[in-house]
Order: sequence, then C-alpha cells, then structure tokens
Amino acid sequence: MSPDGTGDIARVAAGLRNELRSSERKLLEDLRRIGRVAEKRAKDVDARLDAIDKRVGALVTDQADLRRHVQRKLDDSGFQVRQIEGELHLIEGRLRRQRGEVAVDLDSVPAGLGPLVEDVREAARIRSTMLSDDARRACHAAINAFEHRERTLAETRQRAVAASRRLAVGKAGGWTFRRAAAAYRSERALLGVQEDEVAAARTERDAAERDLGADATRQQAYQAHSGVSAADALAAHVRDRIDAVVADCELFPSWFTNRLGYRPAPRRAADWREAAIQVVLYRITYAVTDRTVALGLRPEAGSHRRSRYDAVEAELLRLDE
Amino acid sequence: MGASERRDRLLERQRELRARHDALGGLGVEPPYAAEHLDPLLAATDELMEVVDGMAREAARRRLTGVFVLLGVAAAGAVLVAVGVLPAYALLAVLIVLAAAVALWLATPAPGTGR
Repeated sequence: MSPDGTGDIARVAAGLRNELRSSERKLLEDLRRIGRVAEKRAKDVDARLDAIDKRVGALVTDQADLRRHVQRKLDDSGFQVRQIEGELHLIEGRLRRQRGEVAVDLDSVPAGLGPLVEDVREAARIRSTMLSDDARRACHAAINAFEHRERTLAETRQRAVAASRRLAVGKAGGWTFRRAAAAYRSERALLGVQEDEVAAARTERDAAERDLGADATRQQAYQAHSGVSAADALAAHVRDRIDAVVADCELFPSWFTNRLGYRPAPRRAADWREAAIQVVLYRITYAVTDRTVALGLRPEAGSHRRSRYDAVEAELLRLDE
Repeated sequence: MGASERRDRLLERQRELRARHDALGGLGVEPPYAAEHLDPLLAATDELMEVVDGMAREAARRRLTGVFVLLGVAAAGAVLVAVGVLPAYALLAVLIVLAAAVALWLATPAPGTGR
C-alpha cells in the first residue's frame, strides 16, 4: 500500500471516530433530556394524585358530616312525631271525654271472675311467704357450714384421742410422752373452741332446716293451689279485654297510657299486648289502684312481689327500646 | 407432795387412762368418736395432764432455783477474783458457770406449755 493510501485510511478512521463520539454525546444528551422529562411528568402525576386524594378525603368527611346531620334530623323528627302523636292522643282523649266517653276500667273484673281473682291473690300471698332463692341458698350454706365444722371437730377429736393413747402407753417423762403431752394440750384447746363453734353452727343449722321444711310445705301448697292455673284464665280474660279496647278504639286509663301509650306500635303489637297484660295482671293481683303510676310504688327488695315488679318493668323497658 | 409421790400418781393416772382406752376399744367404737364416748376418756386424759403439768411446774421451779444458785456462785467467784483471793484465770470458770445458768434458764419451760 502507498503512503497516500495509508494516510487516507487514517483520516477516514479519524473522521469516523469523531462522528461516533459526537453521536454518543448526542445520544447521552437525549437520554438525559428524556429522564428529566419523565421525572417532571412523574412529579406532575404525583401532585395530581395528592390533589385527588385530598378531594376524596374532603368528600368522605363531608359525607360523614352529612350523614350525622341527617341522622340527627331524623332523630329530632322522630321525637317530634312522637310528641305530636302523644299530643294528638291527648287531644283525642280530651275530646272524647268531653263527648261523654269514659276510660275503660281495666282494674276491675266481672263479678263472675271474682273467685278467680281471689284464687290468684291467695296464690300470690302463698308465693310471697316462700323463701327467696338467696334465702334458700343461705339456708343450704348454713347446713353445709355445720357439716364442715362437725367434720373438722371429728378430726380434732381423733387427733386428741391419738395423743391421749400415746400418753397412756408411752413411758412417763420420755421424749414420746412429752411430745404427746404437747400435742394433746394443743388439740384439747382446739377442741374447746371448735365445740363452741359447732354448738353455734348447730343452732343456725336447726333454724335453717326448720325454714327449709316450712318452705317446702309452702311450695307444695303453692303448686297445689288452684290460683296458679287460675292466673292463666285471668290472663286470657285480660287479653280479650285489651283486644276489645283496641278494636273498639276505646279510651285506656291514664296509668295505662302513661306507660304504654294509646295504641300498640304497628311493628310490635304482640310485644305491646303481652306487656300490657302483665301490667294489668300485676295491678289486679296486688290490688294496685294508683291512677298515675302503672305498677304503683316499688315494693321492698327481696320480696317475690319485687321480683315480679322488676320483671314487668324489664318487659316495659324492652318495649321502649 | 414429793417427786416420788407425783410419779406414783402419774403412773396411776396413766394406768387409768390405758384402761379407758381399752374400754373404748372393747365397746367397738370407731372414729369419728361421739362426744358421749369420748368424755370419760378426755376427762381421764385431762387428769393425767394435770399431774404432768404439776410435775412440769415443779421441775421448772427446781431449774429456776438452780439458775439462781449458779448466778450466786458466779457472782461470788467474780467478787473473790476482784478482791484477789482467786487468781484472774478463775474468771474463766465464772464465765462457764454464768453460761450454764443462762442455758438452764433458757431450757426451763414456760408454765402450762410443757415447752
């Protein structure tokens, strides 16, 4: 190859190298520019997403506020509707009274059912003399305590007798004898204390057994009494009476409406009627004549009447829920 | 009442108590014992315990007397050493006597406890 040819090749090679370098730089610049653009767009998208999030959060908060507000309005409206309903019933009652209508007397029963009521009241009187569950448990506890104390006393006696036997057969003044003397001394002191405790517990046990015996007799008398089944017949009569009052749109007395309203709630009519029957039965059984308070005064705690009062109250409260 | 007399009484009560136990066994009575079966037995045991307590009180009195005697001996020894009648190393014997008095006092049972 001639020297000119070699020089040409070198020039061409240098030109190609320069061209490659400039292409490489251009490509790198393009890549950087694309990266910057992509980064900028990603930031824009992030900002938009944040803005959307904020808007959605604000919408959720607004919706919750709106829901609360609507609920409050609904509650207020319900309360006002109930108030208006009560007022309407009151006005209706007044108008009907002015027209000469009188409220039905749910406390009295027809003369034919008089013996039935007497039976129910007698059964309730027998039931009220029966022991409460707590009192019955206390009696059983007294009997168990006595048995436990008696067992403990028997064990102490056994230990005292064992010590006494060792004293009887042991060598006087010996180690075994002295230990037996010390054991007998402590067991004998314990025996005295426990005998006093057993005597006191026996008195309580006797009283508890007497109470339980009398209670069993009363239970038998209660179960055999005709008033227990008569209560069902009386309940049927009260049910018919309430149904008739509702069907004929008669006026309920004030003690009734104060607690149960003028009409049964459409969705809970059955519960309403059962609660009404229990209230009326309670009043008839315990001869409650209070004109304002449906169940009268609260009976003293621990009595059977109080537990029945609480049961009827609970039923009325369930109705209010 | 002398010591031998007390001992004779103790043995007599013990025989009596053994007879009561034999009688209880003879009756075929088994635990748990009823109060009416145990009353004579416990009464006999109580009588025996009275004698035992009496003897314990007597022993305690004797021990206390011993304690005071030993304390007197220790005090006399100390005085004799102080005036120079006995040599100084006799104080060791005084200390031993004192320790014996304390040990005897500690070993004396409290009245009525038997301990």
